Amino acid sequence: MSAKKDVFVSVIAIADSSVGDVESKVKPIAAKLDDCYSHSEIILLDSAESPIADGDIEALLKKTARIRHIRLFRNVPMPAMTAAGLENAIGDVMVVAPIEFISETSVVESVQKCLSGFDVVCGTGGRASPLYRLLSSIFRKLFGGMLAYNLPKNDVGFRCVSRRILNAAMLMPRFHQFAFLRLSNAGGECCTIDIPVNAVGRSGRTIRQRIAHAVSMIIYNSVRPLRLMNLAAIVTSAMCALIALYTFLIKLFKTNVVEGWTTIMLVMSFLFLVLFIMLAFIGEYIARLVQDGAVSSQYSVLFERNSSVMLDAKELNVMTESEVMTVNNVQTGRNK
Amino acid sequence: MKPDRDKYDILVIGGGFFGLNIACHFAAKGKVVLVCERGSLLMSRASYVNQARIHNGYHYPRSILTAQRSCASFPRFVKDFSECVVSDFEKYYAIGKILGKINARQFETFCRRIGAPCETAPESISSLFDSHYIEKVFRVKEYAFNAEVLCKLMKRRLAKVGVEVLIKTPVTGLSSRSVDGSGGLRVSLNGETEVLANHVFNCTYSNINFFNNLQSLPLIPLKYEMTEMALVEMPAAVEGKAFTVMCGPFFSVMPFPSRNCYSLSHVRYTPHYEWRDEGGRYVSPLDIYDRDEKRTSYVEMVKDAARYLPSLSKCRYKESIWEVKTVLPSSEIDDSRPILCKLNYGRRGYHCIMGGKIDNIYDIVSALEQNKEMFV
Repeated sequence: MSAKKDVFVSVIAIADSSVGDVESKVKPIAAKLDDCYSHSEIILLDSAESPIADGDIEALLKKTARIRHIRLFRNVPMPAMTAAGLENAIGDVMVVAPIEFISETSVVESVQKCLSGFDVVCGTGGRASPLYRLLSSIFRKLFGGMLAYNLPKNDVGFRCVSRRILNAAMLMPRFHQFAFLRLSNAGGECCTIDIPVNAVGRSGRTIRQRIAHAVSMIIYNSVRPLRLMNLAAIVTSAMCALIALYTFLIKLFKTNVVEGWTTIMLVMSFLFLVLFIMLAFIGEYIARLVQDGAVSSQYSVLFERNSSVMLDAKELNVMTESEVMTVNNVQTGRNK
Repeated sequence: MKPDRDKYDILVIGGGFFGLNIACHFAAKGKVVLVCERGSLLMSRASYVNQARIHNGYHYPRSILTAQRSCASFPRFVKDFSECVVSDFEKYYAIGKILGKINARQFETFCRRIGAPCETAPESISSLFDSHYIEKVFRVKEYAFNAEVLCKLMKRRLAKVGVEVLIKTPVTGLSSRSVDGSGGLRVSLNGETEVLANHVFNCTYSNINFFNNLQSLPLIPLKYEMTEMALVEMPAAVEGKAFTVMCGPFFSVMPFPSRNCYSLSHVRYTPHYEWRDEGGRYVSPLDIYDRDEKRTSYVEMVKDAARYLPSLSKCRYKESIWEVKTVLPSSEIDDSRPILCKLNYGRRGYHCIMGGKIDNIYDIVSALEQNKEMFV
């Protein structure tokens, strides 16, 4: 009886022109997948702005079976690359990461964890700079709760996810922009595995870019800041009303009020009252628009090419056992 | 009916499509073959009571192997059994939104992967569906077969290769010919006659464990479903078209050529109830079938189907056909349909074969060829 697990595993390796010898990185993974799983595929994902050398890709597609190469038009942020890879994979379980974090060990370990019941397995490793760690800590404390931000610390962008959690996450708004957050918040169980980190992470984003991404995350994933501003506007307009009342009462009970002061204060109070009420209403509508906003795709595929051999034509659909031995706690089973 | 001989190389229990093809395979190699069918007709049970679909892989997006083998077998089956192929209809696959286990993009990618033709359906067809429930509709290449014509074809082939066929001849006993379990089997027919066979193939589909139980062999873990297929006449708006909604608790409506109508099958309502062979006392599925009241769930089927394709509310119900469907527990995960092949099961020369898809017949023949030394 075959020792292979009866599951289709997709491995999506995100790479660029700095990958070096792509064949030496991919072939061992392909061999391991072949040894361990009944069906598998490897998707190499790059972009036309910093592509893997075409000659290297051609050679790989000729020599190694079940490889797909997808090239995007342009570089996009890591969440969008991850989303692109996952959307184009057809496995039951999918591993996606920058190629330097994908190894035989990380693939097998993460797939095993996933099959045991964890819909999302996150890879963590290395240690970020002290400034990033400080800013990240502040962000988590201030906004973690309102965003349901449960991404692990030292996240290297390695994910192993089940088909069912991907299908659920893809229904959520802005999946391309916030793929990691969506996958973690889609409802499945999450866990982490250690990934040996020898190189700088793929994202290579500057602190400024990370701050910009954090601001986007706040704006697009929570309307609480906007609601706080609406509340502030209402409170301010209430204060304007009180100031107007105070001005009127002073005029009634005091005799030495400067001429014109009462009129100016009443007019200003009234105008600011109206202004802040308008801002509160407009803010509420903007909040609704942000919540309901539809988003277009964040990436576009330039082309896809495949290995010369994609399917094992020799394998027959004949089994010698009626029951399956592989434990798969994340399968989308029958409805009964 | 009595057999012509008292000794055979191959004895096949079960006159369904799988049993008949296995018989032809060995007879073509010069073996002396006998087929024993308990009923009065060949290919009258599971080989007949199905949606008469010649699969091209579309039906199994969550089982790449089943899909791939279907797609590989499709052109060969269409060529080898061309007399029974019915292709004068348009076939569409629609992707369900709510409760669906795949989306349209995944389906398209899957079709490209296995090499099955798939293109977006025209607006005139897409507009037939309720877009709230259906994400996208695809035009595909899938045919139907006329089971009665196929049966006649198989009979001619059996006669051509010299296979002896006995109907109304149930196998009532199986035992080893020799004390040490080697050297073939004694097979009792109808409780009256005994023949010897070097190899016995149990191709009785839902009754497969009956013969294992008869020989006190362990039961093969199997799941059974009492299934109903509704036969209907399609409304004019969708005449000449067949539809399948993927991939979840949805439905399929296909031409049923042998009765000149259409069959309606529903993932949720076609199986009325299920049971398994698990320890305890064995009950033959055929006994359960005979005792079942067979109350139709056509109303539920058509009401649910009409939510997706409103035209189906105007279908005219004719009757229902019933069968005990047998599923491998392993198929629960991904709706796969592999063939179960257990050679020398419990004793030498006794082989259990269970296949659920007619067009996958080539795989079992190939598997037997791979073990041909066993049958020399």
